[in-house]
Amino acid sequence: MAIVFEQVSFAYDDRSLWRQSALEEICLTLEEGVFAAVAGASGSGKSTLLQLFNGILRPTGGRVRVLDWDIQAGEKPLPLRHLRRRVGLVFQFPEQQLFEDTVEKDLCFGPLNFGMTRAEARVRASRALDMVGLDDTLLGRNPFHLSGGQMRKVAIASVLAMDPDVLVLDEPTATLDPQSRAELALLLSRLHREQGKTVIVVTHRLQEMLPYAGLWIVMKEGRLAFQGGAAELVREAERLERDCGLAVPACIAMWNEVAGRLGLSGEEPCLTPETLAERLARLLNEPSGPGVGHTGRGG
Amino acid sequence: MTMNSTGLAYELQQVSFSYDPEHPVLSDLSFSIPQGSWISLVGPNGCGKSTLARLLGGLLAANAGTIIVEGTPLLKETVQQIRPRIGMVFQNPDNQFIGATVEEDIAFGLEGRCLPREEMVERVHRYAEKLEIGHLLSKHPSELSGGQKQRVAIAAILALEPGILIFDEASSMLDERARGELLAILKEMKGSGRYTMISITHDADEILASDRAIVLHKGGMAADLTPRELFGDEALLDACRLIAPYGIRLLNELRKRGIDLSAESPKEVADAIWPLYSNR
Repeated sequence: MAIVFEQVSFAYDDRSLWRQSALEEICLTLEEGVFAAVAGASGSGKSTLLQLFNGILRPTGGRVRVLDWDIQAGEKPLPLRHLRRRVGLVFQFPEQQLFEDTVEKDLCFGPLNFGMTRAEARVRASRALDMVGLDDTLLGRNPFHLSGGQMRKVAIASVLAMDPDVLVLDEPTATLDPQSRAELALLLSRLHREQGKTVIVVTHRLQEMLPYAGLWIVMKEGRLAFQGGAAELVREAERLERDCGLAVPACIAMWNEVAGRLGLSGEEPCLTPETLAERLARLLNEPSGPGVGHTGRGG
Repeated sequence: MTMNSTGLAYELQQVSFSYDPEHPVLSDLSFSIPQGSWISLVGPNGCGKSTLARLLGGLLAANAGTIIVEGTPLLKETVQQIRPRIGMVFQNPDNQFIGATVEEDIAFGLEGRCLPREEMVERVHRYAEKLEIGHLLSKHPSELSGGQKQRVAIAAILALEPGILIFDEASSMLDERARGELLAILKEMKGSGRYTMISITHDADEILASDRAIVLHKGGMAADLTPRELFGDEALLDACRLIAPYGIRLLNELRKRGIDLSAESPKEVADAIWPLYSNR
């Protein structure tokens, strides 16, 4: 089991007059090797949830188990240093995590800090940069002279360079160009499929992660409002939009409208233009017969 | 909007810029933007979009070439006179909040213009109402969401009544819902006819709403065309790393399979598919 939350609550400024509850009684199990996506309106507790995954925040109620670590409210856990190598966290606006004067130093910082030799760290740095689609010519550049999107990719690469088992990312794609966003989603999916990494991503753009995420979590006011697969998410989209302020992406709205009209709602949803076009083409080429006598509402 | 004789908000003639000579950012750009129009500046990360926005806003000076703003060349001597005509809204809502409250923040720019107090108060309220943040005037920025902060930033800029507005990825840090709301505000501003608008953006919906897209690639101009033309050109979309809106992509995929629809919204597509299905 990668991550288990047992009735986890978290409050900022706990035990003070300004106590502000952010998470309430969360029960959650994320299996090792899962690709999970977390959605929900601003302020619903998504970012707080992620910071409990590697002990940056500790629960003020309940118990968090991550890999071999057991973090309970009110108890001092074992040193968390090695947990942080194994659970890599990419914050929202990760460019704010950059601090060195060359890209190479920034990428090597994590590996060196966790005991690698300089030569090993360099190899890691170069490989991580390649993974995010940047080439080695950037290694000598000052990260603060790069464009916003390039900085974002370097910051993500700096976490990949540590080769963590669990990758946790808070809106990694915001401010990237659309193709870079699609590529990053694909990269995460590859790390998940080919290297067996556990990937957990907070996203506002459901469309990007829908093809890859096996598990969806929707937060509302510090509680879990939904947990399930993509097909269930699609079925419940309308309710989640109304109750949880979820922005339903075009691919779900399109499928629900078209599938509802053509009587396809019971099927596995087609959520990309290619799969939906293929499904519709197949449908229109089927001979109409008594078995397909869906009347819908007349055209 | 005050019209100048050319009817152009911007005229760029062979503009080049670099932060250091080894890495030129923009080279030899020439184009013009008519007053009252809405332009999207698009291109991949690192192509020079934000640099161009700063040149257009008079925050950076070109190394070579001429930028003419509403008929007046942008020079060291004229920049102070031109800059008040231009409002800029940036990506990060946290970096543009100055006041301790929303009201102070909107008033800040007006104070710099030495307006009489009554007019300042009136403008703060008028533009706060316009952006639907009237109920937030006494709030501290930390009490606002990202979308609300961007509304404050826009209200503060509009209160200065500029003719030209530059949005540098103003929606890219917002969540989907706030992004949709910001787009509605931009459309309304465009509809008012009072503003020349320049959006630096990757957002397909925002590009689609604008009049024209100028595509930058490696510091040069790769194309100048309508959003529909842009979204119909897959090679160009690839070059500037854009993805067309979902509805347009679906239509393209259907067309490849011999199904021709002209609809885009989910309801329109369902309406258009239904007769094909029931009459097959």
